[in-house]
Amino acid sequence: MMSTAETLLEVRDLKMHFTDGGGWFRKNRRTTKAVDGISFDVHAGETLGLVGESGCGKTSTGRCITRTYKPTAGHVRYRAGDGTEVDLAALRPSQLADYRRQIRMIFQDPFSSLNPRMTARNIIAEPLRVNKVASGTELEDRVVELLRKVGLRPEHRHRFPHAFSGGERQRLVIARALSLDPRLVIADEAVSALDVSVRAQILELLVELQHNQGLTYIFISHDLSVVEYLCDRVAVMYVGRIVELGPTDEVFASPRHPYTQALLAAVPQPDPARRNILTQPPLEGEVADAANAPSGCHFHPRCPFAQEICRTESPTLRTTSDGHQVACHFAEQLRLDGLSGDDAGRTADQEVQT
Amino acid sequence: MSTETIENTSTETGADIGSTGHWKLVWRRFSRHRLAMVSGGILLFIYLVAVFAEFIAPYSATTRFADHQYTPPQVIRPVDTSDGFQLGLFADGYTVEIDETTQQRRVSTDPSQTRELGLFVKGEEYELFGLITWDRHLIGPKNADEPVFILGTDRLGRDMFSRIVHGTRVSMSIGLVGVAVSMVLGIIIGGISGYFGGAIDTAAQRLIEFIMSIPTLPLWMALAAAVPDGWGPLMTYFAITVILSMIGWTELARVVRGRFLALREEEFVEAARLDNCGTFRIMRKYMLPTFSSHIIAALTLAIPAMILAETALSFLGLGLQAPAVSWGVLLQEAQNVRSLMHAPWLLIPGIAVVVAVLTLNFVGDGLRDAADPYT
Repeated sequence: MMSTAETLLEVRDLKMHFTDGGGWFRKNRRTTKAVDGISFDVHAGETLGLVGESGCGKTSTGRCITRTYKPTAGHVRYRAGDGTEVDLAALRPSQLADYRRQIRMIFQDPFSSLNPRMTARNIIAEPLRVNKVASGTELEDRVVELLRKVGLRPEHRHRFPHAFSGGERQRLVIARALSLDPRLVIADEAVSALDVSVRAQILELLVELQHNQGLTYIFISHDLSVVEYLCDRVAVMYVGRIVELGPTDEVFASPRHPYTQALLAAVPQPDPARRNILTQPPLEGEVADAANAPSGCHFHPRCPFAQEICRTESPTLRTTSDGHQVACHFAEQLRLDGLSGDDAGRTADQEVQT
Repeated sequence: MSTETIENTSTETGADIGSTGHWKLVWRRFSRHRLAMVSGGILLFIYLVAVFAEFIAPYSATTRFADHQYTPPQVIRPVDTSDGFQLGLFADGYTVEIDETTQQRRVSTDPSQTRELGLFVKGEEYELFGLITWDRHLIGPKNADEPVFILGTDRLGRDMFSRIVHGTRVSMSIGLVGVAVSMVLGIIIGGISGYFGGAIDTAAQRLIEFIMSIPTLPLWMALAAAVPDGWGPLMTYFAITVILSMIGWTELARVVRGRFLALREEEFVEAARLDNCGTFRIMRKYMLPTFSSHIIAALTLAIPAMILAETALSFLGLGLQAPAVSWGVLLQEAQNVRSLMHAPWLLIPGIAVVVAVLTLNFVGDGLRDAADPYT
């Protein structure tokens, strides 16, 4: 059962394993553990950031919640608008229609997420029409209202997507997501494909919509500066697992996991005195393959502080003294720099004392 | 609103360009393809000929002129000077010689005689579309006793021009049904195979591979023998094309499957799924429209193949048979070397085939180029 009243979504031990290949006798079967047992809560009205490198399972997590994928295991408990609680992971496809109206998705690529053969009006009207929410003049009014809400000119509604710029297309995508008055919006890299200037506008729009409509966001991104701006809490993922979870400012100021610290260190700083890209040794090695993940802590081959225990034992996500959750054997011993730390780079006292 | 601006609000003409529908853009692009446009005109003309064959042809396809076997073609002159100066349509008369040694009758043109032709002349009665009885022909001899054969006559003294005109109808239409059946089957089976994937896809692909491995010619011969005797030649051929189209859908099915496989991963299709759109709606409104113009282009290119198949099979004696008139049947007459030596004009239906196939190919090319007007 849900922990607190304002918990909108409770993800427990969510697993999404993809099996591919196999051939005739399933000889070469490979299992990619895209999401491998993650748990987190989403509170009503907040923005939860999901960050990590490409291939760490953030998108798969989002797709498990929208049930584009059927999770291999675990629970996605959702508190619906009428107060009932339902496990989305266990629903049959025919039962999903209701929840798909309440949980909506904003896609990454505004170019491929709009049907090129439909006008802006039809794209926004489609969910209203399919779900029999509105028709006739009411439908028309709703479309105009939605276009205004996302800052598009209603007189452009008979245009096709190719006549809109990237930012305008993303506004269309947002309008489509909002058309059914959702409660939870999953934004999968919603601004990654946009120019920096347009990105700021879209982020502002998202914040404003959240404010006006009381939306809850799960914001999936690899861009830490965007996450810092938008998210109340952030979950850092690495190879299908959450390695750190906590309030954004705390995680960014004092990361507990070496991976979080490495990610933060890779954020380019506009301050020339802190050109950390040049002073900080980059993270070594490649992101581990989710189909063949390292034993123990998945991060140990790249971790500068790895010890014997990291190779054999997988750390669990535990709550540290300052309240945020981390999955590292040495979370307490390590002193890592955050984004606002005075000096970049590792100092001597970061060495593990064992 | 704090998000005050839209990036691109200045375009006055933008609203016009942006809201132009897909098919309008395709047409715009197509109309720039000169060769395809000309071919399209010719194609339209060919189909008009097919529709109004009885009216355009001076005679029916079976009218025999017993005295005019193997008559050579002749040129129609607009001016006649044999008897003063006259404007109109004129042709030479014919003389018959009998070869002393072989006793063969030879018809040749005789410049000393003149026969006059006219437009909209009275001729044999016919029923246009099986409804309107009429006796006017677009072109024909003014005097019914002095026939003129623009493209010559065949072994039985039948006018080649009339026969080619009548053959147009069968040649240009009989395979269309087959192509349509192939299209429907290809889209449905390919679509299901690509959209659902997995075991359904594997089953459909194995079926396609099996069907593709069936040799068509022996099958065609077997079918020709199996069709009931009571059916007329047209009906027989029609039945065979339909049966063959049941195995001819494989190419299109593969194309559609490939597109569907790619499209189902597209974000806008996923968005439609999350909008609670049903499978059929997704296929119809999201997936098919993105490549409908490619399908049309593929079909346009499939029609020439079917015309050539008809011609080839009729030539072999497997397709249409004699009482029916098609270009392939007409070319059957040109099979024998002796008649070819005496009457090379029997090959003229071949020119009709070439023209029809080429124009269809050019139109198909133009359509294929125009199919994606955004690039």
